Amino acid sequence: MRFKQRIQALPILFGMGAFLATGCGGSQEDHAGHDHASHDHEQVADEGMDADGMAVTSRENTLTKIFHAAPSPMETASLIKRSGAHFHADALNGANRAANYTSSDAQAMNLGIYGADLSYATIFEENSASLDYLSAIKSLSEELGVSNILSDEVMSEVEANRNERGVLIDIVSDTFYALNEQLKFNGQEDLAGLVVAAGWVEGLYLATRHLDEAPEELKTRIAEQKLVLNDVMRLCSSYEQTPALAGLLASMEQIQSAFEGVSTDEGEGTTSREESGGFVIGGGPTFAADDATIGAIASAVENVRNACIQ
Amino acid sequence: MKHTIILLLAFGLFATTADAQCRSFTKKNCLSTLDGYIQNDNYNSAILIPGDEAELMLTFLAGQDYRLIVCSHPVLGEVAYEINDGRGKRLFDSSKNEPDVNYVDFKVETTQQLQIHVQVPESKSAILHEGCVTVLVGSKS
Repeated sequence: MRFKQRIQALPILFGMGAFLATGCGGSQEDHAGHDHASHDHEQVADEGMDADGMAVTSRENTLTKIFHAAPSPMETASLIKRSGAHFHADALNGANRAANYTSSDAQAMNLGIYGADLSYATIFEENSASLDYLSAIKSLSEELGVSNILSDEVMSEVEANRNERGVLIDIVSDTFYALNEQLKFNGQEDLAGLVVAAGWVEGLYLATRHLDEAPEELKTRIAEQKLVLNDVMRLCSSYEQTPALAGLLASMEQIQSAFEGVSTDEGEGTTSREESGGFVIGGGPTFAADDATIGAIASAVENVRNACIQ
Repeated sequence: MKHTIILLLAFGLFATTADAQCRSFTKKNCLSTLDGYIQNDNYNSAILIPGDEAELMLTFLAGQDYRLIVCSHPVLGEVAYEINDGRGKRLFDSSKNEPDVNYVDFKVETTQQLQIHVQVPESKSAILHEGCVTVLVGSKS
């Protein structure tokens, strides 16, 4: 009798599994379903995806999957350096504070903060600081249960290549990609959101330090972050709104208000092809902000960042 | 009660297995195309079927070189992608791209948001297959 009940449950299990499998880490809000009008397919039970990522589907309706992303802190750090700004060690959140963060929300936020500090130190070739931040990130990620992103093997590779900027950049970017992937895989998208949002805040915080000596180009780069803020807010709003994530996004509204002073001139996009085969996308918008607006952005970012590192 | 537990376990097992296989597919088939570029921190992968679409809106920063990869399981056929500017003007169409590769290299003269639109071709087959599609963005200065 018990055996028979289990057999009867199997089709339901397969059906539920097939339904869930179509999500691949995305939330239902990410999908805009529409009828598969041009086909009348035979419904086939999901036989499970093979090791190469393929299976017979049981889904009949097509959908539009909405992906979300934001530029990485490494990109922000690169543009700070390119603009001619100098490295300011005193602006970083001390790596020795990692043990202060005991809740998973605080650990995720400060993984983002330390990720931006690490990117900044690595881009400016402050290798000793980079190693300190990698250790702090290893410690926080272990606390969060994603210890495999920075294995002892990777840490040994870091030690062996401590003066190789390119190798360190690769390790940092691989680490944060793996962290994002692992948190999403674990169903902790809210924590992935905290990492991304706090990382962006810290990157902008570092860009806005010592504005009195900042070249004009850096001010333009800061003004352009208005667009990246949209990316970050859209990305984080797509995740389940836990109190910590909702609270951080609410506090970032003051940054959004400060960015309202940035003016934008729209321009039409153009494309041309280089000899190398790559494309150049020209035209597009231009951004400008006066010193008062940049100051307001710096002040709002400092408020949010200081709350994150408490 | 026992059946509820079995159902919940099966629920998690199927979702986790499909997700894990998509991650494995991405690691094995997609990430190496980003060699020489710093990969964006965001993992964007989905299981799609013929006729599905995917969209990604992302800001690209002036002065950086970018590589956009749309990596898909061969069972889905020629997955097409295009890049549109903030006003919806099409700037790049993979179906007109030579050589025929699953990535495009580009840079932007001004910082701007671009929309990447991915289209899985329809299929006339009686049995539809689903496969992983991953969108990756890498940059270098």
